Amino acid sequence: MARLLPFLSAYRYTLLSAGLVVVLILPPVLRSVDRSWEPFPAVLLSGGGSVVSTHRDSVDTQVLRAYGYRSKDTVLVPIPPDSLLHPVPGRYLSYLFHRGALGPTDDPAARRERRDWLAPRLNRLGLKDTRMLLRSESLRMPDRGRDTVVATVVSEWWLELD
Amino acid sequence: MRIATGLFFLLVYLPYFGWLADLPRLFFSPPPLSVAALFTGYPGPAFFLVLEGLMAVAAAALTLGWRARWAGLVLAFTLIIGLSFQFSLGKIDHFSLLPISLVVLSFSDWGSGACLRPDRRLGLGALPLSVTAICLSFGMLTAGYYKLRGWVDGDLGTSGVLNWYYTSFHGDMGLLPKGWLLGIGPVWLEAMDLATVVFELLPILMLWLGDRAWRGWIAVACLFHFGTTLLLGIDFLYHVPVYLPFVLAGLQQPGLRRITAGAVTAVATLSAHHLLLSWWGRPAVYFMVPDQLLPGAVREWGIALIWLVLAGLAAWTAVTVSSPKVLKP
Repeated sequence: MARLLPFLSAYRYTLLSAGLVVVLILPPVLRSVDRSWEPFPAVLLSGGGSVVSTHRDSVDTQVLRAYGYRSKDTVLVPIPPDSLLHPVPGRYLSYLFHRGALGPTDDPAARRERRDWLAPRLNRLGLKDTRMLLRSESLRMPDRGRDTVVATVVSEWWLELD
Repeated sequence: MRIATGLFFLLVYLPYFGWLADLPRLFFSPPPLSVAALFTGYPGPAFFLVLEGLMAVAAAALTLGWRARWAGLVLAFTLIIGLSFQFSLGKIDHFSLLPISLVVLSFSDWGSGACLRPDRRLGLGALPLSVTAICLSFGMLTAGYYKLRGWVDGDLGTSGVLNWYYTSFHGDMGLLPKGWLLGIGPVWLEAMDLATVVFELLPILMLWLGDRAWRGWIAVACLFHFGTTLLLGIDFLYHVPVYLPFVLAGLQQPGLRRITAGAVTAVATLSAHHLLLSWWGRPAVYFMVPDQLLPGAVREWGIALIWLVLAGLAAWTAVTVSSPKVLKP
């Protein structure tokens, strides 16, 4: 220990730099190997290198939307994700879906727990609490900026809550 | 610097995690390399009450300089724990620079002046600030690298900024009239893509060039966040305490010698305000106002204003201040 301290003191900036390099480099390396290995916390900021078309007649993007049956007339209506998931931020909807949180499960207790959490939220929005639809849609704006949106269904999944 | 950071948490933004306690276990999908991965589900309400209690007390202790080093570390680790559970919803939002900078700055001597109970001086000088600057630059580099690969394609038929716009709910979250961005021509959209990538790749170079260039970049960064708040509703509020030390380091600061009884009372009241509201289930995450009473647009305009003021201060220090280089060890 007596020999180690002078060494640490003499090379403190070299050691700090080496430690910093490891701490900084490791997380992006792990993320590039497998996105799910991204550690938290880590010195990483959102990349998001995706692009969309700028052409006025072909701007499109893919989104996940939730739908429920309106209680009064059983019409299928879109559910705002922030209202459905409150207090979970609505931006998490697609991540929850892709991680299987809104998919089938063999665990009846977990299914019941999910139903008990979602049902009051659907009721508050004037929707039936028996089932809801999760639909992946391709949104196309033929007249960009004019609120005209043409939605094409890519895939859909019924979540049975009963 | 320390007082401003503490006050930021008490006055502007104190995260709340109590809502996680009620979530179904099917929603629990923690990042494998995180604190939350040590758990099998979301902890109960008592766990988060303790976490919030620690955050409110630590923010007050940091502001008043009562064992500021420990207060900063407690604040950082409670944030890391709380955020680990929040990101167990399946997505890591990139808030890491906030707790990391708190950890690093806790090793500065920011807790040895104008304090209720001063910390022992470590004498590391500007090193913690330099490490924070390196972390910030590297974080920006990781963001810029992915955009460089995707956005800089010389193709006027594609746009990364437009993609941001669509993924932020088609501008619904922004403060400017919806559709504002859509009127911009492809050349300008491509220029915005390029400018964003340059902005994110540049800080390492600015840091190397010296103090004035670095402060200039900080000013541009604050303006960038002001722009994303207006345009997309992406406010990056959690980056404010990361930039704050660089903005304040060059300014003439009030010569505080001691903490007065009035200041202790005011800070303790603020801390108690947060504690009581959290325990009541009506947290005041933004601007000390319970979330239910604060309209989203008012909150975002407030945040936009903070970025604008910081941009102005940073630009002022970049132009007028001559101080030691940030990277000086």
